[in-house]
Amino acid sequence: MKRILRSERGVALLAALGAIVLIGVIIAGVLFSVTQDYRISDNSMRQSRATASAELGLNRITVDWSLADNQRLKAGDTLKKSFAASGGGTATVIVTRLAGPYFWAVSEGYSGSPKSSTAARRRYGLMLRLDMPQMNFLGAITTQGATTINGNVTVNGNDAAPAGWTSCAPGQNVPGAAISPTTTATVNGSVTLNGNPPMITTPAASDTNTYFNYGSSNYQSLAAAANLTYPGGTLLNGVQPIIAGGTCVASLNPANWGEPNHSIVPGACDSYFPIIHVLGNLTVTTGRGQGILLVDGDFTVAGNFAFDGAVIVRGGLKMTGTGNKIVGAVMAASVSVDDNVALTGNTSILYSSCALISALSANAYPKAIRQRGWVDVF
Amino acid sequence: MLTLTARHRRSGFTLVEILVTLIFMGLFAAAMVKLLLRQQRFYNSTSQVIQTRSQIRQAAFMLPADLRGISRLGGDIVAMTDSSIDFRSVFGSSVACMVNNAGAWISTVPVKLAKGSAMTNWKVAPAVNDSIAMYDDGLNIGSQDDGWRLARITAVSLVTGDNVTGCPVASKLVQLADLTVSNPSYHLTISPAPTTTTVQGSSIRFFRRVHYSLWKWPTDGKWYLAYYDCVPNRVPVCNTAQPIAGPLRPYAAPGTTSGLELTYYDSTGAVTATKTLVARISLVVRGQGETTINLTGAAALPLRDSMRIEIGLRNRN
Repeated sequence: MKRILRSERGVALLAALGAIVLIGVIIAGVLFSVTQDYRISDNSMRQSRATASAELGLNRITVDWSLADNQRLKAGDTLKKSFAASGGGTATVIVTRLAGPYFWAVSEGYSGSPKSSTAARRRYGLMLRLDMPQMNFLGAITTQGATTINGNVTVNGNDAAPAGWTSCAPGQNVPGAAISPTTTATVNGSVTLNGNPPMITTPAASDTNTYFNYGSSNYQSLAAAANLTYPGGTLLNGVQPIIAGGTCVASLNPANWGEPNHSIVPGACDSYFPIIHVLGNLTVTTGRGQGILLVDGDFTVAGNFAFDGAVIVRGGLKMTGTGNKIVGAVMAASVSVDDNVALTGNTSILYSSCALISALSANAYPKAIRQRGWVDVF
Repeated sequence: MLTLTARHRRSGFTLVEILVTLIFMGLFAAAMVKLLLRQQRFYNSTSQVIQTRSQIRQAAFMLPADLRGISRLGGDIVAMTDSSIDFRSVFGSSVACMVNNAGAWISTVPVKLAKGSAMTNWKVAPAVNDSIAMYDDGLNIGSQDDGWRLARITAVSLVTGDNVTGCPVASKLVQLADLTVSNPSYHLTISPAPTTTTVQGSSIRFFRRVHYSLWKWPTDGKWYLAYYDCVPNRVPVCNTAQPIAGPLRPYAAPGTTSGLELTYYDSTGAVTATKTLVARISLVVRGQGETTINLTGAAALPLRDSMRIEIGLRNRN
C-alpha cells in the first residue's frame, strides 16, 4: 500500500493546550478562593477551641484545688497544672501565690501542638481570693460581756505577725478591745492596752451577727466542718503537735492542734490549722495550737497556753495564770448575762491579720475576686 | 513500503471546509468566552462573599474580645443602645509590686517572668492620662469590704534593676534574673493616691473608655462598625470615629435588618436596659457586599450575610 506523507497543519493541539491552560486557571482560581475561605474558617475554629481550652483551665484549677496548697504555697511560689480539653485542645495553668489570700492564675489554651505553626493560642487570667469566713473582728478582743482586766495583761490591736512567721503581708491596725456600749470594762493592775484606738465601744460588738455570721458561712457551718470535736466540759492539758515519721498526725486526744511556733525549716504541723469545735465548756492548760477554735460554752485558759488564730466563744472567756497568749483575735459573745470576760495573770491577746488569714484560709477554696477578677491576657 | 512522491501539487481548503472550521472555532471560542466570563463572575462573587464574611467576622470577633472582660457591677458600661455601646475597655493588667500611699505611686511587676506567671501584660504600655482600677483589700480580712479604686496616671517612669521604686526581689514576685534592662517595672504616679488598704499584690487593670457603634461614614455614605476611644485630659478627649469593619447594612429597627444589633440580657435571660444587670450581650452583625454577586448565573443580587454571637460577661460577681 502506498502512503503519501504530507505536511499537516492545524489548531487542534494549540486549542487543546489553550483550553487546558484556561481550565487550569479556572480551577486554580476556584481552589484559591475556597482554600482561603477554608483557612479562615479553620483558623476561627482553632481560635474558638483555644479559647474554650483556656477557659477550661481556669475552671478546672478552682475545681481541682488542693487545700494543702493554701499553706504550702508562699508568696511568689508557683504551681503549674495541665489539662486536656476535648477536640485536641490543651490548657496549661500557672498559679502564683501573692501576698495574703490572693492567687494569680493564668491559663494558656492551645488548639493543636504548641510547637506547630498552625496552633492557636489564647490566654486568660483570673485573680483568686480564698473564700474565707468573713469574720468581723472589731479588735484584738471583741466582746459584749462585762469585762474585767487585772494583773499583767497586754491587749494589742496593732497588727503584727506571730514570731517566726514569714510570708505575712502587712495588715491594718485595729482597736485593742472592742466592747458593747451597754457593757462595762474594769481595768486594774499593770495593763497594757494598745491599738487603733486602744479601746472602742461600738454597737457592732453587741450585734450577734458579728459573732456568728461570716458572710457566706456562719458559726454552725464552721462547726459542722470541724476537724476536731470535743464534748462539753472538756479539760485538756498539754495540747501539742504530734509528728510521726515526718508527718503531722491529726489527733483528738492527745490533742494535736498544729504547731504555732514556725521555724525557718517548716515543721510538719506548721501548715496544720484545724477547726476545733467544743460542744460546751472548755478548759485548757499548758500547751499550744493554731487554727480556729469554736467554743459553744465558756472558755477557760488556765496558764501556759499559746494559740495562734481565731477564737470564738459563745459564752464567757477567762484567762488566768501565767504564759497565756493568743495571737490573732478573740470574740466572746457572752450570750448569757453571766458570761463575763476576765483577763488576769500574765496574759496577752495580740491582733495578727497574718495568723487570722492563715487560720481562716486553711480550709477555704478560692474564688474570683469581685467585679474584675477575669482578664484577657494578651 | 513507503514511497515518497516528489513535488506534489498542493490543493487548498474548500470554502465549505473553511466555513465549517470557522463555525466550529467560533462555537469553541464563544464557549470559552462564556466559560471565562462565568469563571470571572464566580471568582468575583466568591471574593465578594469572602470579603463580606471577613468584614462580618472582624466586627463580630472584635467586640466580644473587648466586651467579655467588662464588669457590670463595677460600672464599666457607660452607655448602651441597640446599635452602640460605650464602656471601659481593659487594655492591660498587672499586679502591684510596690505600693506607696504617701508618694501616690505604684509599681508593676515586669512583663517577662522566668516562672511564666504573666502577671503583667498589655496591648499598649500605659501612658499618662490612662485610667487604672486597683483592687482595694479593705480593712476587714474577709472580702466583704473589698472593692476597686479608680485613678488616673499622672506620670510614668521605667525602673530597672533591684530597686525599691520598681519591683525589688524582696517583693518575692520577681527573681533577680527577671530584672533586666529590657524588662522594666513601670513606676506609675497616680491620682488619687492608692488607699492604705491597697497592698502589694493588688490587682491592677488599665483601661480606656471606648465606643463602638453602627455608623454612617460621611465619606462614602456607607455604614460601618465605628470605633473611638477617650482619654481624660487629651485634646480631643475622644477621638473622631473611625470605621473598623464593614460596610454593614444600614441602621434599622431592632429585630429587622440593622447592620449591628446589640441586645442586653440579665442573668435570668430577660432583656434589660439596666447597665448593672447586664449578664449577656447578644451581638448580630449583618454585612452587605459592596457590589452585586452572581454565583448561579441568574440575576445578580446584593450579597447579604450575618453572624450572631452571644457574649457572656466573665466578670459578673
